[in-house]
Amino acid sequence: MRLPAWLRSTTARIVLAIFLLQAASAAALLLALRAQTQAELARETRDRIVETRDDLMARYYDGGAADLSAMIGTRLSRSPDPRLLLALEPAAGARAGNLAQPPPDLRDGGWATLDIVRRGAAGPEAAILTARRLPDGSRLVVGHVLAGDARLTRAFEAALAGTIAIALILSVASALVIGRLIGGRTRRIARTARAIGAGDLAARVDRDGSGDGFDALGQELNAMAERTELLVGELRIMSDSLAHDLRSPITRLHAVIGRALADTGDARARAALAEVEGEADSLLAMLSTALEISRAEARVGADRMAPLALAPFIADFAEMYGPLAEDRGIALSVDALPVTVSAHRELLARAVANLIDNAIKYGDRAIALSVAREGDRALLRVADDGPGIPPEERAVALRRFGRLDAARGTPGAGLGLTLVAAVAHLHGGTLELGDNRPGLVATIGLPLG
Amino acid sequence: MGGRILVVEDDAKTADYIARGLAEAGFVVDRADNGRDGLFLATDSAYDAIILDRMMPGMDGMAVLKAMRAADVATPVILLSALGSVDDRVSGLTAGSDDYLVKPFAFAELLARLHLAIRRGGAAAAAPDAVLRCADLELDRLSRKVRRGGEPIDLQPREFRLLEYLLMHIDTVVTRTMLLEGVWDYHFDPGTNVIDVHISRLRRKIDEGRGRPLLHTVRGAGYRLGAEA
Repeated sequence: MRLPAWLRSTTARIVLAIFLLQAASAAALLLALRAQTQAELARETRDRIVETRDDLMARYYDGGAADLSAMIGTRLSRSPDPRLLLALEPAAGARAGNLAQPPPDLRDGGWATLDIVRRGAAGPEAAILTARRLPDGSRLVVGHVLAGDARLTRAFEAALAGTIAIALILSVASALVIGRLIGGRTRRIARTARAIGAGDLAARVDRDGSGDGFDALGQELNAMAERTELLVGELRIMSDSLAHDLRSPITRLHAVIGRALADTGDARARAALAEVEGEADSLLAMLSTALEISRAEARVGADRMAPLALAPFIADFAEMYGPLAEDRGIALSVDALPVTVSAHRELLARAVANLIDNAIKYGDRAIALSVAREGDRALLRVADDGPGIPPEERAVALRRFGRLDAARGTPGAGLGLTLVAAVAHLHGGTLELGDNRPGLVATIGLPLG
Repeated sequence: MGGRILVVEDDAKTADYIARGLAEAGFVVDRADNGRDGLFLATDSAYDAIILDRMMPGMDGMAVLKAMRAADVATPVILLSALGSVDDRVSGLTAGSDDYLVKPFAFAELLARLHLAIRRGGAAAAAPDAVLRCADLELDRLSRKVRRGGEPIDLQPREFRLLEYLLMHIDTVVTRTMLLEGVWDYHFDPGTNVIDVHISRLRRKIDEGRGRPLLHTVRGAGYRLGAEA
């Protein structure tokens, strides 16, 4: 079973844990306090009982049993404490005091807690009693009803409820503080992770060296970034040396072809050499583009972003490609809103040139270039009215060297759209291929800012 | 147009290819096959231009370039490199090279850029004229007017800049990538014949029906504006 989102939240769990802990500790505190209070009260009660008993005993020794009996009556009627129990239980003759029944035998001078019935009371009540046997054989019983403690319990229950309410408020407050502390720390780590993801491979989490969970997380993230930076660096070195290793032989090939072309007058040989030269050129173009893609994918160049106004940028291309399109009988239109993005101008230029090249190659009569704004993205669109790309083949079209069957007859290495996609990703953006009904609409979505 | 050129290139075949082409074009060529010798020659003798390979074992091209510039050698330098990305180009230019050419290159491209670098190096201080001329074609950079044989020619802004660039490099071969760089300020290799179409439009306006053609196509290289065919 999946817990609701608010319960899965770590912050909510922390709030809950703090609340439970606070409530439990408050309750424990209250219970301990209550036990101590009760013990204290009991001790006071006993002291009072002993005091009363000693008073009465003194009266007995001074004035005898009759005086004691009168004194008990006076005490009971005047006492401010309604729970006082007094009784004189003679071996024979009239009983005095407020006990309905004579209590059972009590050890002389000892304490007993038992249920007694007061005179005129509805039922038995718990009471603490002590008894003293007098020289005439009668018993003096002094005690106290414990019923008042029930009120004490109720008071404690009220206090407990209050404590829980305070615990709730305190736990929410402390959870907010703790949540803020944790959130701030995790957000800083997340910010660094995002910066690394966006290509700033030198970004690192600030560590406090405490070795706690957050510090460990930061350490691991830093180690990961370190490794990524190293790998990207290696990729760059590898792609550079690959470029060098492959380009130099092609340069020599060019030199040989150039010399051969200059040396031979044979028409057939010249035609063949020109063809070889053309192939060498397209091999090189493919290689350059493939390397450019690798580098863009490794986010090399992400540090060369500068603000670029897209409207004049796209207007440049309309102007650059306009005459070529016109010669092919294609109308090139521009519709650009003033939007500025942070971009690598040269790479974006290559990407847009690729898209327009494609549009001119496959388009029929109209190409529309546009710059629009959608939420926090700038949309740079190149739309043609050619055959388009069916939805199921669009993923293939974006793959490296992924050429569609329909395009196999035409020159090109199948790297154009891949380069555009890589450039879009370098900018933290996307390339989407859509249906222009009819034709293809390629949209480069770039984050604003 | 002659001159002394230093070629610093570790790859013997590429160096042969360049030296042979330059000799045919009328240059005197000195060669060095490593950075250290190259730097020594560059600081010791006066050259009109230096062609410097970027990636060499030992002291590489960038280090040579930096050491040269630190020693106040202002000779124009064209960096040759197998590193073709825009960023490599920018780092090369920032380090003080006058131009950056990616291997493999057509020899015509190197030659065109070499001429350009030498010309720029010689006339670095001179401010360009306000009126540029070629035979009976004149372009006034201030009033932005173009005339041929006294007759005004109406040009689009980009055509004007294209003609201005060609006139500033009169009698020199300019390649398509040089035009894209100089006129549009973009540094990629245009895949299609984008530039050709602009040139043919400009040619229609300045040459068609106006007697002697001034804008010439140089096969396998690019274009040249000049009074001589």
